[in-house]
Amino acid sequence: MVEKRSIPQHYAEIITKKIDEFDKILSSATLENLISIAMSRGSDFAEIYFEYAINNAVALEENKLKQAQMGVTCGVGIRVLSGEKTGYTYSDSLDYDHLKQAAKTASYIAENATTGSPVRLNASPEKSINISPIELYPLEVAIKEKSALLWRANEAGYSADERIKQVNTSFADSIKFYRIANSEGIFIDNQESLCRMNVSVVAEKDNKRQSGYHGGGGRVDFSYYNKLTPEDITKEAVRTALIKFDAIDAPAGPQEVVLGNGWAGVLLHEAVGHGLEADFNRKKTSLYSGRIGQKVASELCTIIDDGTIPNCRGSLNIDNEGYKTSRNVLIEKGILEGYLCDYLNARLLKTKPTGSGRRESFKFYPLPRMTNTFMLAGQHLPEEIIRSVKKGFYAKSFGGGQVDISNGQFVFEVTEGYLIENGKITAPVKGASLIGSGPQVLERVVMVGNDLMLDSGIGTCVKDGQSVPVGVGLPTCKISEITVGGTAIKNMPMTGGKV
Amino acid sequence: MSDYKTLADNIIKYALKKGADEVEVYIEMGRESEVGTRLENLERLKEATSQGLGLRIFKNKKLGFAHTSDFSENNLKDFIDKTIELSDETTRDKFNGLPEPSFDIPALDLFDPKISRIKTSWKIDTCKRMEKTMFGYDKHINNSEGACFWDGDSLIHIANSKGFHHSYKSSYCYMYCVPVAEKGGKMQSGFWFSFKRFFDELDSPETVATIAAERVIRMLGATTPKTKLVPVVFDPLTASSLIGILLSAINGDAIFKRATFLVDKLNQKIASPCLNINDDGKLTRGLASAPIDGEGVPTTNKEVISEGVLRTYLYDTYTAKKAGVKSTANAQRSYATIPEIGGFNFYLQAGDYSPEEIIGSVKDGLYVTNLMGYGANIVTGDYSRGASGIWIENGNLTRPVEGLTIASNMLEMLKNVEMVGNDLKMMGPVSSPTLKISQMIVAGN
Repeated sequence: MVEKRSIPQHYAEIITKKIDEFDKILSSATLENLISIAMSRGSDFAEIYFEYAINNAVALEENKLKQAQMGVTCGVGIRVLSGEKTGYTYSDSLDYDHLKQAAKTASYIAENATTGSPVRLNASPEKSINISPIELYPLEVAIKEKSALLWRANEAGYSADERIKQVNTSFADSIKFYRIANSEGIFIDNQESLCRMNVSVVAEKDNKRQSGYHGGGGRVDFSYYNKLTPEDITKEAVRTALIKFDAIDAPAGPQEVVLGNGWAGVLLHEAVGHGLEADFNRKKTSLYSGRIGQKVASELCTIIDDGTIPNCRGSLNIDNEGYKTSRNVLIEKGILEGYLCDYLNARLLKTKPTGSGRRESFKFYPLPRMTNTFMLAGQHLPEEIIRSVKKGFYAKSFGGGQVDISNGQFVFEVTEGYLIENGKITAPVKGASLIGSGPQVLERVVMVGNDLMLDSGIGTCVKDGQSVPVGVGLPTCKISEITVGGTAIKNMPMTGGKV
Repeated sequence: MSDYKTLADNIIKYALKKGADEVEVYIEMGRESEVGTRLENLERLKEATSQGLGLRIFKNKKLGFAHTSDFSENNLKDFIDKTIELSDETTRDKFNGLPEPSFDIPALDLFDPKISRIKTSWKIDTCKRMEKTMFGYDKHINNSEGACFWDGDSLIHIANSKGFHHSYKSSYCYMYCVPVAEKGGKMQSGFWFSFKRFFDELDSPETVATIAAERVIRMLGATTPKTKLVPVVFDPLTASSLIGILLSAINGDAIFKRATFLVDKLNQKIASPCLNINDDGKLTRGLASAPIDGEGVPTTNKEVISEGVLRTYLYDTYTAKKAGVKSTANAQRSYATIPEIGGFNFYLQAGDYSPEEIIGSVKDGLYVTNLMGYGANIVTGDYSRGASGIWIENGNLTRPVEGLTIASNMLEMLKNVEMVGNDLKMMGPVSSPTLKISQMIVAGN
């Protein structure tokens, strides 16, 4: 039986009390007033976004529970749209005079001077339907229980191998409550829970050091860690660190590449996903602009962004504009089907929002963003795919990545990679990265595995300075050619030098 | 300001009464404003103020931390009680504790009262001027990700139970534009900016836009060359990103955990003798300057690398005690975070060569103007990043190249720094002049 206690308080208790408070301060009448002030200069849309979030974290390092912390953030963001223009302001004070002033500030974006008709909201907000059922919220669990997970991971790490010199573990959880009211009549409350456990290790041998990392979580029940145990997470972190001691320099240049299943889907997220966000396409700055209905990938590729998968890190009951999330087919059998749309860009592109309007907090206006992005499984066994490669590179896992939307160029750091020789995975490789262009890589997908897997719940995506949790997924797949950046080239003379 | 002092004093008093041994209050008040145009039309206006408070307490050498944006008396009592309860959960650590107070605090001229008075109409006009200039520069620039003017100021007040208290104000203004150019159906996007503490020091919108336009136009028609081992010249922007990696590698906490490639390298020659790197917290009007660090320790200017020798790691109070040294005043934080080690104005000192001389010294090599990805492993020093730029032939910049990765190991790269430019400008928290590395693997086709 997991212990609950006063710190942190019982979730239902806190939130019920808080919502009662919010109902008084942010009643439908108050929100109607704020919306009409925000629209008083003739804008065509106004929205009040209220957020209350609690964050907790514990961290264990050097055999000490070093940190136990919590934070509460609370505030209102007011957004006004007028054509393509956005006016935005936020306030961490819920005082009505402050909010009125904020609504006025946001209203200045509009210059039409024609007042729209006032909005009528329902007397009380609609409640979103919870797609991620949870019995025991991580937020409700006593710190002692969370730190017990960390101590178990710590023990598992140090006892795994004498080369392990450092084990750092942490557990973070949050609850975010938001209420959205807008001039289209949306008036809805939503709550999302999120947690994540991290384990990183440093191993040392012959004065050489290597690091390894693994983690897991999502919008999950605390009992999730009975299935993905601290020992499982640590084992993976230790494995990825130790394997690097035997790693050889990465072979540089273009080659046949097999991508591993799961987290390697971050490549899709960067190489394709961002380019399909509606803002870049409306502005025609994405290389996918105006290409709906065209072939943009090999017919083996069907790519989905699905915000409705229960308990996944990237999922949401409703997006941060109040729209239901959905399963959006971005590319079907190689044909571009659609973009990820928030309200503003859907309106300007004369299409429908896809439940993709997301923001980091009340301090930011929403942008079209991904949720959980993955490629559907294909026909091949992963072993078959590896067997089909005579000489190539197996990229099992990646670190960070980045993409340039305008030309599609992306780059990824490979954190776990191997040579493939004569159909077999052989030597581990270090210091490699992959570079290419999104459409080019998708055109070159020549085999897709039957082993689609989503990542373990560790992804965070950053766009315009806003971080949001996301999920990624991929079946094992083979790309006929990608450039591998590395330090090993055979028989290559030094061609530079002084003039 | 005096309100914050009273508020902090009351919190400290209450927390001590409730059993805390040491108490620190960090209050932050901020204003931000953002104006954006696209295609010379106003696209967005953002305006806001906010506040936050971080409370760090030690009880029996155990740490508790919490933050809130609700300063009401009702909330604060409960908040302080909870922070003390949090400390009960952590492990006793004899190195925990606050720094001894010092009031020898430098005055750094970080606040420009003019900035909060800039008219919105002026900012909109400035953004429009940037876009107008870049569209006028070349007909291939036919689209834009917009132009933006961003400014803000903040007030920070730190007080602790050892009697320390200090407040300081700072301001910033920032403008940038992102031209998009197209040739032969292929797009490229560019970027340039100006970032200052003082309004009068900002570059003109025309200067910023012209540089952004030049940078995008020269990339049109880029191709991917063959894989080669060649000299690589980093322009000041990309060189800064390279130098910035060192900040994580000299972090005293990571060093204690033996998790960087610079472990056990103190007072050793780790780089070419032409490398001199400073971390300066008290640079007048510096973009990353602060009179005190995140724990209230007066900041300093220190040589991190001098003539290729690693002179110091960076410490806050806790890690310095563990290492048996003095804090280098490198605690960085916001109200919502526990102090962590970070740099201030971190820069490579100017060298002897003009950028032209450096480029002129290369027979066949790469001039890097853009880097992508995060490919530096701090633990091993392995470095591998996506790059684009201009190919150098016989000392001249010739044709644009992209789709490349450059790879080496940081220790190799530091030793292989062959020339340092004389063109150092403080552009942001990390700055560098042009830099030449004698050889790296440039992987392409």
